[in-house]
Amino acid sequence: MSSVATNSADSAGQVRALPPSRVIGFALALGLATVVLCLELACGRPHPGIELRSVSPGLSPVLYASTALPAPFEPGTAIAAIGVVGGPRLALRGDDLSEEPDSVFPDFPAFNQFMQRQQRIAEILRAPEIELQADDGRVARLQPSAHRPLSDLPFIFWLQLVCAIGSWLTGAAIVAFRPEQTAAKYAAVAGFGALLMIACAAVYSSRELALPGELFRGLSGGNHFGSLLTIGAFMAVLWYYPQPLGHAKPGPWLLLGFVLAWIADFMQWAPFGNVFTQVLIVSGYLVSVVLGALQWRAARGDPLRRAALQWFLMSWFVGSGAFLALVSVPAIVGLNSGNLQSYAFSFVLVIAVGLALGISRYRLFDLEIWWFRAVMLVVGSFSVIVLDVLFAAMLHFEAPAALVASLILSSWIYFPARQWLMSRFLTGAQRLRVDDVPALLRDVLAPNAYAVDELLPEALRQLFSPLALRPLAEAQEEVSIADEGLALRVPGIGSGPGWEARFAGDGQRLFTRRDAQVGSAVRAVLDRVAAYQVAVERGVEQERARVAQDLHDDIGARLLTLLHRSDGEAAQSIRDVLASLRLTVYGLGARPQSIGNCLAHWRAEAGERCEAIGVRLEWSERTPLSATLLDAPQQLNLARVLREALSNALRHARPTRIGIDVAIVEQALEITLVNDGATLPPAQWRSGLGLRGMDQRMQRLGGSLTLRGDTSTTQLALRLPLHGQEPRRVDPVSAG
Amino acid sequence: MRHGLVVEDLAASAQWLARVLTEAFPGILAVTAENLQEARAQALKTEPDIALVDLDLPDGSGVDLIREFTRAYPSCRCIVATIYADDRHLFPALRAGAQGYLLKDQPIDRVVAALQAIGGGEPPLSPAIAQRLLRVFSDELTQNASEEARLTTRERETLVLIAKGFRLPDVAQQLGVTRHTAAGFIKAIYRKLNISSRAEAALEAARMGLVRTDL
Repeated sequence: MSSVATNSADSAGQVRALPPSRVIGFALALGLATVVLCLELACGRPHPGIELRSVSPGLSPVLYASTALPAPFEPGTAIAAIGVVGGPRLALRGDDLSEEPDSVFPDFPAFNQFMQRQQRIAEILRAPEIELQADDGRVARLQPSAHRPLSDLPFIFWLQLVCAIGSWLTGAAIVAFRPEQTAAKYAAVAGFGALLMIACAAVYSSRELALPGELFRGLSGGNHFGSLLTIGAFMAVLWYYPQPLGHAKPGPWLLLGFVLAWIADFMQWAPFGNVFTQVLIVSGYLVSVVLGALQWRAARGDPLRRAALQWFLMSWFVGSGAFLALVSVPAIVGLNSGNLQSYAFSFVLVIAVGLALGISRYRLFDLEIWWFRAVMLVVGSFSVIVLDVLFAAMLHFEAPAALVASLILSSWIYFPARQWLMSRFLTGAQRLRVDDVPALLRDVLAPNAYAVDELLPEALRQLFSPLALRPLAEAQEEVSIADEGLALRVPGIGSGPGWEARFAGDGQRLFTRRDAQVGSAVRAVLDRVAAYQVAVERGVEQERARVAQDLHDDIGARLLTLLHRSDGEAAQSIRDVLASLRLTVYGLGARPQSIGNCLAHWRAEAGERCEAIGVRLEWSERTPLSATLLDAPQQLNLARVLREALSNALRHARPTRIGIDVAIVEQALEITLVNDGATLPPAQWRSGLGLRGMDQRMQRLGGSLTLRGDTSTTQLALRLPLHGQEPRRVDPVSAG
Repeated sequence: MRHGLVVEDLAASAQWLARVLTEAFPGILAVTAENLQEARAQALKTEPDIALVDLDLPDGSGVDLIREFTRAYPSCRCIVATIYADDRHLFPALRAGAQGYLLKDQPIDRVVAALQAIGGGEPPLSPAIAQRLLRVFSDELTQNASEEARLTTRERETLVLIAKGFRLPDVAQQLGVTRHTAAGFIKAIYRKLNISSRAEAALEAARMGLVRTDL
């Protein structure tokens, strides 16, 4: 039995490494918290319920549509000013509605002025009743509701949230499985930057009229911080991935530089106002293009890596390039790209989707298809929590009907849905079957369950539910935990290779010392089993050789002497006996054989016999014959029945032609012998033609034998079910 | 064919094989030997054109004799005559240079026909033997073998048809080639069997029951 060893990294690793699902869980929790925060910021504002559109930055915006149209206005009325009833009025400008003030107000003074106006409008909106003044002097009153309803949030708000969460989760899930890769860390940082950038923009770009100035500044700052972080982290990714471009470690410095730049921007020390940030972003993009080109050059001569890199670079440059073209470049040259920015964020999601596809196709970051499964598991289990929250939120009924309604809802819809989700995503986590070792061994060692080389991986799969399982090229001395608990390496059994299981419990936990002990114990049992199997096979082989020797020396020699002294029917009988002996001792009959293999033998034998007396044999195989195996009794009995049937036909019917038709019909092998000889109809046959014996053989196999015919043709049909479980069928044989 | 040699320890079988030789090649001078020693002595005397060799002889294996004869008398055609049809007898014999492998319990006219075909350049290959060859050359086992040791598509087709019980003329018809070409395919298969040391290893594995041997 091999002993258990844990790498020195193990004990320390227990502290440092986290099971991937925990990391994804954290990421998801942060994502959900961000969503909740965004919803709170977007909905926790007074809701005037009117939608204004800007005609031109300097002109009054016009009333576009409204949930409750304030009398006496109609859609299209230009709103010149807004104010608290009885208070001073503030003139509205088209650019108060700007979705992205960066691009509309490149200079800091103008930008700050915009923020002040936002603050004043936000204060006015907080009043219980406000007045709107139209261009033509008409005045309407409006009572903003306390909160903006969820349903009022525009499509682009949700789109941006999806993009933010998608980018963040992709990055976080990469680092969850590849914590040791520097590039993966920066990919996660880039994902976090995208989360911050887009979530902030989602709140302010979808605001109604105004946000309080400080909040707006904070969100705008968050947006800048996120975008600078994203570009900085991505430059770092391209420095390290797929291989470091040099010995320098520029990652932290890059991030630091971009953070300092952000501070300068936020404190408004930077030159050129808001254009400064955009210029930084575009230059960062250009630098990453150069880094990408260097990586591309470094990958020459390795087409596989190039293909992966190509995909990686394409999703990044297409996604971010399109984004920059729609946002940063217009901001630098002073164009207002308006609400295009909100849609442009979907290009950031393109990057995330590109990365995910690259992982499945090209193993980016050495991740494989199971990466999706792991992420889905965590996301799925979180959806149970989300369902709970939604359900609790929905139960705000007022009338007494609430109780009835909630009962119906919970029993018919909610609980089944919750149960379904739980069973789909949560049971995997609880399936730590380490305690089930006896059951596992029973499963794995069931007769004919697995070949020797499949025993170990199958046992590991059942024991630990790892996400990845691969044979090891190098020999293992003992069961060991590797990669800080992410992997378990087990020496092979028999002459087979060792195996490495990665990401225990579908990636939801780490391998522990206990796992190593259990793995070691199970491996030892399997090793014995494998050794035993080899010994048994060797023993059978030796015994077979001994019997074969006897066959030749004694029985075979005597039969042969007999055969060479006789002819006619006697000779044929001796040949049959020799063939049966051969069947019993060697190849055919000794171990399972494919149907095709057996049929070839029988066809050859039948062909020889027919040819010897000048009868034409027409052999046809109607359906493609599967690779199903016939076991020894099936081979022997079928061969004997066929031989007997052919003997009968040749001897009694004296045909000119024998047809043998083979087909697989409904999981059964059907062999039909037809001869055109003249004989009595089968109903009038006397027993003693060996029919009874043939029928018994077929019944023993769970099959059947049927005879049909008249004076000019006889047809004998054999049917053998190929999956032994079917109940035995006894067909009446005409001859009795 | 002037001189024939039958190496067989059973008197009845030896007689029968000698009869086979004389029926196949009228006018041939068939002598019999009971063991290896006698066979070597006879061969020195007459230099046989054809030898029918049993595998299990009192003083050794017929395979050794075939190997010696193949080297010493290149013009002698060594044909195995045995009741064994299994890998452990078949392959060593073929690799030692046997040009045919016949089962002694076949009807006499079949054996005679097979021997006459050898004279016409057609190596005999019974279905049982073809099947085992297919196994040896199966892709799984020989995918690492050198290019020259691998079967061409045509050779494989030939082997498959013979394994299915087709006779050489039917094979030729099925493949749309002449009988002569089909015989050439079979000769190539024999030749490749000698090259393929990988096949030998695979065979050893199959014999030990370590590799699945069904096709």
